[in-house]
Amino acid sequence: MRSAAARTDPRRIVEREPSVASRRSYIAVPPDRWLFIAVALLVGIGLVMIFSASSATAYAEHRDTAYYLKRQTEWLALGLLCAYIAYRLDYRLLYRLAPAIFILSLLTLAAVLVPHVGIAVNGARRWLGFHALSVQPSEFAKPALIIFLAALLAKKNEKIISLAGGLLPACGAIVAVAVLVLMEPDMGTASLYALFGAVMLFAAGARITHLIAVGAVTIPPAVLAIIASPYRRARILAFIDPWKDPQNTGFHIVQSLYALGSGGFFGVGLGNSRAKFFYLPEQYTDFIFSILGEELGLIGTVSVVALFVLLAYRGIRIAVAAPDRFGCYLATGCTAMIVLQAFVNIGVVTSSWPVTGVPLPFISFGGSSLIVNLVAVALIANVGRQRRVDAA
Amino acid sequence: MSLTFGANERILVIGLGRSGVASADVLCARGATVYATDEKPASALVDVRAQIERYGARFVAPDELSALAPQLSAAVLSPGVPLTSHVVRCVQAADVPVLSEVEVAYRLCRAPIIAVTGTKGKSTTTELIGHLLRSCGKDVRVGGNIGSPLIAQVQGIEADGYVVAEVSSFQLETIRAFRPLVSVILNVTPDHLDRYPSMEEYAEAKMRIFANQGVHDMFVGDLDDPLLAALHWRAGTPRLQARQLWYTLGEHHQSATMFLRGGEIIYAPITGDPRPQTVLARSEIPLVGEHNLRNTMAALLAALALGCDRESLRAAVATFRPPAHRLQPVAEIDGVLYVDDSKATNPDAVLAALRSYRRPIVLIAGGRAKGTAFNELGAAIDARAKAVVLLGEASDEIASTITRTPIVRAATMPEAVSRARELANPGDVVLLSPACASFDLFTSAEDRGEQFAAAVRNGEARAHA
Repeated sequence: MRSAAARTDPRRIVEREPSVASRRSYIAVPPDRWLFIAVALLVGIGLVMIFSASSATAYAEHRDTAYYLKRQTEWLALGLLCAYIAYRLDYRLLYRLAPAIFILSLLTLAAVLVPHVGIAVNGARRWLGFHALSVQPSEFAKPALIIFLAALLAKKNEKIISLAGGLLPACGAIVAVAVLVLMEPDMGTASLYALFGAVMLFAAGARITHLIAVGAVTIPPAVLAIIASPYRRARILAFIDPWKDPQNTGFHIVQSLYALGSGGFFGVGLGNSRAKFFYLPEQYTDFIFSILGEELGLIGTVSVVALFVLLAYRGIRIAVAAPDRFGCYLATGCTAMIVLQAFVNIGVVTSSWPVTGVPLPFISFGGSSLIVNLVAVALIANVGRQRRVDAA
Repeated sequence: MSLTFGANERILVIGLGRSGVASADVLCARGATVYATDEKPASALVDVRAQIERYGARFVAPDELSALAPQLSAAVLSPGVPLTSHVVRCVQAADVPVLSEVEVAYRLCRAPIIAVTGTKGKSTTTELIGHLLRSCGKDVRVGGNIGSPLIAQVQGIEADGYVVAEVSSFQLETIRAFRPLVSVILNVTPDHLDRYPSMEEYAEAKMRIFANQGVHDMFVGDLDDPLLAALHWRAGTPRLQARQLWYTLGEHHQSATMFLRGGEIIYAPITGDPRPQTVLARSEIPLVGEHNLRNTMAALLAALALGCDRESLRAAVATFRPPAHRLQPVAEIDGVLYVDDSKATNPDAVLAALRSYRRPIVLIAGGRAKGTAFNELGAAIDARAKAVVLLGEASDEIASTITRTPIVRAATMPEAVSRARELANPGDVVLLSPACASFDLFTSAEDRGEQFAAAVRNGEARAHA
């Protein structure tokens, strides 16, 4: 009798004990499955495409069609090791290390510029180390800048809405890195820093009017730098009309568009590219997306774009659900870095963006880029690990 | 049209409890033309009428209101008056905005407000936040529901100080712009269902506390309370604009900003260095009970959010003394909880005390009447108490308002306690909440409370001898 009364008493409808359902919803989750799938597929597609796109060059240079595939696989093993460490360690530790990481990164970028220390290829001094085992400090500067900005923005918090107290110091960090990279010269990477840096500032709540003002101050010098340098001017002109000079300045883009166009909807078939036989330069690095489009067609290119969109979606979700601001900005920055770079690269290949030498994340050949992007994804997943089931 | 609550405005104060009297005082001092009304019989209002007329306000009987209503700029509502009452309807019919006292206090306040609500623990937490902020060197005023009305506290505080306000769901019903810098909801458990049609509507009223908060404001909540946990940002309900600071005693560490690990209170900051840091050990908290641990965590989060450093907070928590003789648990003997609310010297405070417990209540009341009517109290005793022990001069007056509840009379405090003990079963509460002044039998309210506690302990000693 008493229990029946208790059950019908409206005051008993809500009890203090959390229900089983709500308790279960707070159990820790394994790494974000969709993020993992997207990256695994991109890396897989990358290995296949590197082998296909580089085999002719590899045979010509090294008498081994799988030469670049082997190198990339070695880098992948190293990259996975780094990524695993980046995933297991608590990302919160990076907050304290951020200034040290950033200064180290500035020092290596400066070292690149010193003759006989930095290695020059095609007139640009971008590498450190020996030629067989060389690294690009401008790649490693990306996560360093993201970690530093994330810590700075987490510390500044609401002060970011003030120009002098919050926004300008953060912009100063971006400019410091970008200027060093610009001196290599590598305008593509420098502009990427500015792009993902701006995304992080926006995510941190910087006033949109301030961001526009900073952009208005930065863009004229950049335009001047383009006009002042003959090869950059030529690239812009080639972007506006590649067919004006298809044998010279427009050569790259024209060959890329030929490759994409001949791929059609379904592609000419894996391994059947013709552009890779010394027509299209950089065919296994910055222009690998053209070969992908030629061999796998629109289906292949749209799939790759879709995988990057999936990565962006999962990354943003994780950033939004991050338990603290540092984690939020870290995930935002890493996601923006990968996705923006992918879209700039695809933009260049499809002639929707002026030619700049940035690789396609996970797919282009290149050890520094692969390691950095894997570590970035691991950091996103690390932040995502602090999430609960009910957010998935 | 924006209200200034100054000259050229005609403002009606509805309800002449402490809050209404304080509102009339403040508004008169600001130069407004103040009217006041109350539905209580005129005989019960003689004293307050004289008081508000001294301030310069004019009393208006409820039946004269309809003539006055169209000329009013605004009406200020005291917490005790329901929105459905005749006077409120009359004023609303004339399109006059009806604002609660906290709303007016908010509009007059230059300092940021920390607002605390919840079914239980409001007073302790409000006092504790005030104590913590004070020991971090801030200028702090504490007011609200119990104690002094908020509107009396906001006068003269500067923008760099803080006002810590205890607000009830009733007060939150009539807020409009009220926007605390930090809102705290301690818990939402079934209560006041006499006034709310459903639990949902009661919860909704509490959640109005953050309705006007923006992204730069903060919210503190208990993650272990299922109704509150549904507000968590990860639960996918974007109702809360404010930054969320959650605390938990449970296993939801990763979703909380403050949690318990190995007997230590751990703070995982949202901004700045995100690594979890120990604030203090649970054993350093002088308040007893799990509910007080939660209250302490809520207060710590609010203070940390406002920039207090961990070291001063740690020291400050240790020096906090809970308000004595205000719903102060004295002992729990044979399953009966003895509560000292000796400072409840008017019927309003006893109403609040009676609403504080879901367990059956044996009330000890009486003393020297202060001229207030006991009608409402009698009805509340009938609704809430299983028995009442009356003590002191006002016994007959109180007894005349009670229709159903069994009444027992006592001459001294030890006798009252022993009669109450006989009436109580395990699981009940024996509540000393007199509704009267103490000067007939005791030297002060404190003396009355101490005699009560002594009688409770003597009874325990005898029972176990």
